[in-house]
Amino acid sequence: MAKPEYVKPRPTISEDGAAYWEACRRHELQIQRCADCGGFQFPARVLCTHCGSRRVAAHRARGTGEVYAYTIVHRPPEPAFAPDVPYVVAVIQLDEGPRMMSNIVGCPVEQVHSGMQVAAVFDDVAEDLTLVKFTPAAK
Amino acid sequence: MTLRAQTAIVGIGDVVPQKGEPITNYWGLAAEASLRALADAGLTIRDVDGVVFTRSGYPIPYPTFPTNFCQYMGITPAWMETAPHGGAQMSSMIWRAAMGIISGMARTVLIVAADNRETRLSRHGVVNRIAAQNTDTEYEYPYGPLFPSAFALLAQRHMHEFGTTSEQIAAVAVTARKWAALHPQARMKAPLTVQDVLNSRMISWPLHLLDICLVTDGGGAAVMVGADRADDFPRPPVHLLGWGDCAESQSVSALPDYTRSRMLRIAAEQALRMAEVTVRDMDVIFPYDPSTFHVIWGLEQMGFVGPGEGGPFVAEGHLAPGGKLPANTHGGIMAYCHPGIAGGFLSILEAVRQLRGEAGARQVPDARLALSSCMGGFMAWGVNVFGRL
Repeated sequence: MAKPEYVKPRPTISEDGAAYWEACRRHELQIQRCADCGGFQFPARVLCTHCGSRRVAAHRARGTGEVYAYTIVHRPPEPAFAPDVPYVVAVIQLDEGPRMMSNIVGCPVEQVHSGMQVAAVFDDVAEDLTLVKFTPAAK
Repeated sequence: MTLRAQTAIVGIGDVVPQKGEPITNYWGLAAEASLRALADAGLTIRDVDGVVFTRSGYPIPYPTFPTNFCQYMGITPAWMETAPHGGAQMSSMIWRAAMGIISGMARTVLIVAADNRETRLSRHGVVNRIAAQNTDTEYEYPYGPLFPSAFALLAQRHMHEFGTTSEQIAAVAVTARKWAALHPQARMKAPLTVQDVLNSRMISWPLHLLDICLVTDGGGAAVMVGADRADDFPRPPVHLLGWGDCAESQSVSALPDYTRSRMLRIAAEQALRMAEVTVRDMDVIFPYDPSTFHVIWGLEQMGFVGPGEGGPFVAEGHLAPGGKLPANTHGGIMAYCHPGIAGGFLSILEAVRQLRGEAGARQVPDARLALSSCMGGFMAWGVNVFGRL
């Protein structure tokens, strides 16, 4: 059965971000690791924001982390999000250190809390677009 | 060489439309605010040799650079500046004007910010456009945050770390209306209770509709000159004693620490150091208030209270009329007027009125030192300290 057309805003994919979005389609959560200082970062850039080195490379994250902060959206920014209201927008702290924004799915919104352990899931929203989201997970 | 007290504001003017008074002419609005400020300074447009003009944050179907403003006004200044999007825009207009004067490139600078976003876009249109423009369109917006969601994330983390309550946050809105009730031109003068705020429509938990600032038309202008000329004008001069500016990240997911950030703390430290004063010396303050929570957060970041103390401090009424730290005495952008980019600038103009002794029923007795903070882009802050010498 054909997927209904995805009408939510798509990411405007940057040159630095292209590899991340391709990895999402392979169901991999890709961050970067610096070959000089070992620091992790997200999103991808040409330099390491810890030490300034150019020797940054793709690194497959474990996909686990915890909720740093969250909000529950009750007024959708666009009509396309209306069916999901209320939904959680959270900032996740990955176990490797970097943070990213995402949605928490798979649990009632009231259950979400700072420190909640989460794991990445991959939502194939369209033929050519997969979004990383997070669900509650045991540590 | 010290930058402290090298410049002074000698004229101010603003245009604050009431509900049902739509402003359809963007250039006309900027010009009217300018003419009022110039008249307040006893000057005309011919006296202006420098301009700081900041354009609307929303698309306008014609160019709105400082050069376009100068063409409209019929002047050819040798020095022009603008505050960049992404910077702490309104506060930086003040120090940009000061730098133009201190450098010797200009002597009489007109500072202008105006927008008629409410009329052009409607509140609904504004809210939608801000989300699309100010959220990271690659890594954030696909997940559906509103612009206030970023404020909500900071508020939630603060509640988690310190036990700050929704009631304490709502107290900021209640306080804003107490001040607005004393200002003939404030947009929202009706009193609020904490329960009114908590009963208002939930936007992005924990923030309700009444936790979030206004969307209006409006504009303001000021005239700045060097300190050597400050006493040559009809109104008492208000000197710029210090300023600071700092950016930390552009998107909320990139901000390293939500409750102990660096940007506003560094900006405040710079400003206070230049002004040679401390937070304890302030008679009246203007902490930027795009949401109720920002005021609590701002008090802590700038050092007016310790970490986690902001909620109880506001709930105890210290920012309200009669309180020990009067804040946003015009009602702030929560209740007075908020044309978008220009909102923080209107708060700066109220600071000037307070220090001149022109604040009427809102007057803080013997106000001689004021601090204002403004947020620009999303994660950049600027602080100014003003004084009556």
